[in-house]
Amino acid sequence: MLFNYFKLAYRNLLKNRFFTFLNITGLSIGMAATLLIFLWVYSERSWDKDNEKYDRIHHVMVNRNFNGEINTGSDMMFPLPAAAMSSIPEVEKASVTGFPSSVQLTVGEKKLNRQSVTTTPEFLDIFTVEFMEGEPGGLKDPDGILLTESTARSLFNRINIVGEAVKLNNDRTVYVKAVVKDPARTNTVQFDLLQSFNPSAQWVKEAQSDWVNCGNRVFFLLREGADKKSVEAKTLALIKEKTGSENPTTRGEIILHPMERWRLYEEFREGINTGGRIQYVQLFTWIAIVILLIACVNFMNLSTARSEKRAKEVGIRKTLGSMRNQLVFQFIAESVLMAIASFLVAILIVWITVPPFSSLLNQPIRLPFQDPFWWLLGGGIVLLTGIIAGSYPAFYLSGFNPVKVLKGSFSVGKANLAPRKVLVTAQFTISILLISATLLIYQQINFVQQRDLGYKQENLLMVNSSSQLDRQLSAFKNELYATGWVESVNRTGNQITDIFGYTSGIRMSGMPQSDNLVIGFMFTDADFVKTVQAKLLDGRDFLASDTHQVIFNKAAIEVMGIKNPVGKEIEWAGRTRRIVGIIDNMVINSPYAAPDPMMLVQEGGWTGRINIRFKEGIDIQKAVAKIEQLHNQLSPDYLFEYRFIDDFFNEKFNNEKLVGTLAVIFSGLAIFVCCLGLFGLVSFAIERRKKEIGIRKVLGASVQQLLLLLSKEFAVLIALAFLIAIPVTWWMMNGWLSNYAYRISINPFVFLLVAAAVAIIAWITISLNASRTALKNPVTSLRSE
Amino acid sequence: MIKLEHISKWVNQGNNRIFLLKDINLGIEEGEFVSIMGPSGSGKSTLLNVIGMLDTADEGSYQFYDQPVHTLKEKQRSQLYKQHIGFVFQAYHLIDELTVYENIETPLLYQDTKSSDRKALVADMLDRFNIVGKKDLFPAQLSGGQQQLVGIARALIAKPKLILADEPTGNLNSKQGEEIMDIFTQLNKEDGVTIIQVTHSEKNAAYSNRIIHLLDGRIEHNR
Repeated sequence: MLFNYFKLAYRNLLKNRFFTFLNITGLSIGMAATLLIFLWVYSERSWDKDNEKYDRIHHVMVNRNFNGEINTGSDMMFPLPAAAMSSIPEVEKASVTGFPSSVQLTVGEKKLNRQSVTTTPEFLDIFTVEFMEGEPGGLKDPDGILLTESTARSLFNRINIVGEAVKLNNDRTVYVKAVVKDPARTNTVQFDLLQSFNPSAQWVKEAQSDWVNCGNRVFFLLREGADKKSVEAKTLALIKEKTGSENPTTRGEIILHPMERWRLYEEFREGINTGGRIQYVQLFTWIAIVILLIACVNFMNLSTARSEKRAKEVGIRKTLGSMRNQLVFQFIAESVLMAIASFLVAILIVWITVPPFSSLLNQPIRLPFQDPFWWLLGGGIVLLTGIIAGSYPAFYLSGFNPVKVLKGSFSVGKANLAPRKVLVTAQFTISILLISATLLIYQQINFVQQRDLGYKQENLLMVNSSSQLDRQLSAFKNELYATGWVESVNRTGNQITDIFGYTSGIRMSGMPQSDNLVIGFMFTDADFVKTVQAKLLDGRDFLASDTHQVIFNKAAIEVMGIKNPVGKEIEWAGRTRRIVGIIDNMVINSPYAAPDPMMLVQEGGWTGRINIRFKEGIDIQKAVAKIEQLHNQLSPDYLFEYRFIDDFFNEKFNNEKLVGTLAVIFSGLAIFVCCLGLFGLVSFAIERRKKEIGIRKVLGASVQQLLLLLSKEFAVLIALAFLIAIPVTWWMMNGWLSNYAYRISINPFVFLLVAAAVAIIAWITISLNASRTALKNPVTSLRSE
Repeated sequence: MIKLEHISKWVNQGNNRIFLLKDINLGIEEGEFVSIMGPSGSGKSTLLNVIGMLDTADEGSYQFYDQPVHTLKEKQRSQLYKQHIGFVFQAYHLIDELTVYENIETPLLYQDTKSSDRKALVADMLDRFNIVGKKDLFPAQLSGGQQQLVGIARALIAKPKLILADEPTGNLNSKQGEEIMDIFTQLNKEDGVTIIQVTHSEKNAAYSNRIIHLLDGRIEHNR
């Protein structure tokens, strides 16, 4: 019997090729979109899962309380792990681990820059690291390092290198103790080499007892069944006890951020773990489901639209003794078969689109063909789609009265059209919503990209400095100016697309008392304003002769509340510094946020980045080649590394751009699938009204009038969809936009544009179909009656 | 076999009640060959549908063998008619997507007949009507007469006690019509199948041994 159903379904599908084509196209696009999104979601959700102790690993974070303003930090004090292991029983292992930093590795003539993480031996007890050569004990030796396989191969071309010497940053010789597998790309904690803190270094000695300054990450491995809340409380108590005095950390609270939340719940606001990437993951999970539902709705609509054709069969089967549930089963079998066919096509589509999709997401997406879970999921999607898509037609069709349909007096009443109309309206509502949202996302990204940043990013090159280059700095500058291509050169402590740090320690006589004064700072030297082309509002740029001078931006002056600041003096970091200039606000950290108050500090003694402002209209490639040559002359032991500041800055848009691109793709697919459905519905409506059209034509109706007649019933539905979609979109996008301080306001014009676009697409869909009938000789359609 | 008492069926149109069938009393014995005649709209088909349990009367009682059909639920009625009744239609009503073989087989599927039995039964039927060579064709590839043969074969496959035929020759030429009537007569005489047919044609009615005339939903003449 089952086989019989499938056979019949197969023939039915084959016989109605047009209908089958529309359905399989729609369903397979829907399924492919759903599968792609689920693959991405799966990949996002599987981050860090390679770690065997996944459930027990926590990143210790802190909510610092700056008199009411809560700031969440991932940096902790150096002696915390050792103290926690000895005094908090739930903490099985703890490690202090530096933030990754770039180090230069030198072996003979070979130089490489790699990300290094400095840590303690406990790191290897907490994280799962697979050893290929050597032993985990190697980290106990302060001169020992662990290399990843890929780093080892690029340095030595082999991995049996235990005991080999490597020069770190041209000043320290260390020895390879082990080679480990590269951390999977889906690990939050990434490194190319691990080294231990050097106990004889002065700063490490000082840090051992420093419970105030924080500069490293701390990871806890809790014992099985440990209570997170109680460990948090005990950790805070421990810190309070050790610190002795009060500071923002002791006033705040400790958060153990569990590993399972590292990737997707990385965002903290006001000290609360509000989410992060998970919002996008959830958003797209919903979009996946919605697209699949739209495709299912197509199937329902097309099937019920075809009901008059199927009615006769239902009537006959009933007189032959078919029970209603047997008919229901038959129709569901038909739609499941359709779903299976669509699924196969969908797998093909996914297989083809995974590589570009992966590169778009910038993360490896694998097709988990071996994983039974995915086959179960696939089977589930097929069955669910088949059943959802088939259920309405099945119950609708199987309910026909055989006497009526066989007598020929059967016609689909107006009431039966109602659910179909509701479904079409719902489909279009969702499509309109997706398209408008996409447009708004794009507007927002565009708006932010064109924001006046307060400085000029184009033609600004950043070159990494080195101790060698620092010593030759004036020679380097002179050589640069001598090329004639360079307008100005300046040095900063860090790349200027990030604020180096924040301080609440600025003091000044006559300044109103404010404990909430948090100001970003950055170290730099002469010609900063000239080089980055910031807008000087008052005073002057730094001069080469300056020592311990500062420049503030407008926002900083506002929060400090000082009048006529130029020439006044402040106290900061143990020194008196004079304000020499005020610049307009620069957008540095986040292009979406309000500019941070900022202080530029002229101070020497650090190695940083050299910013080079090129003159307009020069040959950039030639200039960079020349700079490389100068660099290699003056700093032969170090690699030449450079970036353009605008490239750097553009990376800050990656996330939003990705969301925008994904939104375009998937809302495009949604509207396409909707239009497939519309196309099918129109063609059935036309078939139903073939005779009417013929008669009207004989009576003198023009093609245009007929098109209008046929478009009318759908136009009403689409208009209704707009009325529903606009307020919903408005509300949703307002919510999204409120995440950004610098944002567009929603322009109603967007909706007009979408309305016009959707109306045109729908109208083309309708008239493609309708014109065929409208142009036909009425004699042919009337004769068949 | 069939006993209808005070059967009435009506539709309401505004305040008027229009009777499709009015106070029908009719008994039909096993083995009879009955023709129902009457002008268009006299209720012939409605009566046939009521007898075939595809439609229910609004009033009156209907005994089929010893079953009170008017009290049965739809499911039970369906069980009953699929065992005992075969339908033949004027427009044949074959399923276009199925081959001749599969069309004939379909009623057996709904009676859960075993696959091997089904094959044998269908083969017999194809043989009997001389359409073995056509078994893999689809209805659209057959002439009207051939389609009606398939329709009858399908009606007979489940070995019904009763055949209900609604103008079985209405779409056929006279020669084809005669063939069908010969088959009905043969079925009636040799297999003892009870046949009730609705017909316009006196010639076809002559094949039967009893004629019921309907007019405006009433039995006018019961011979």
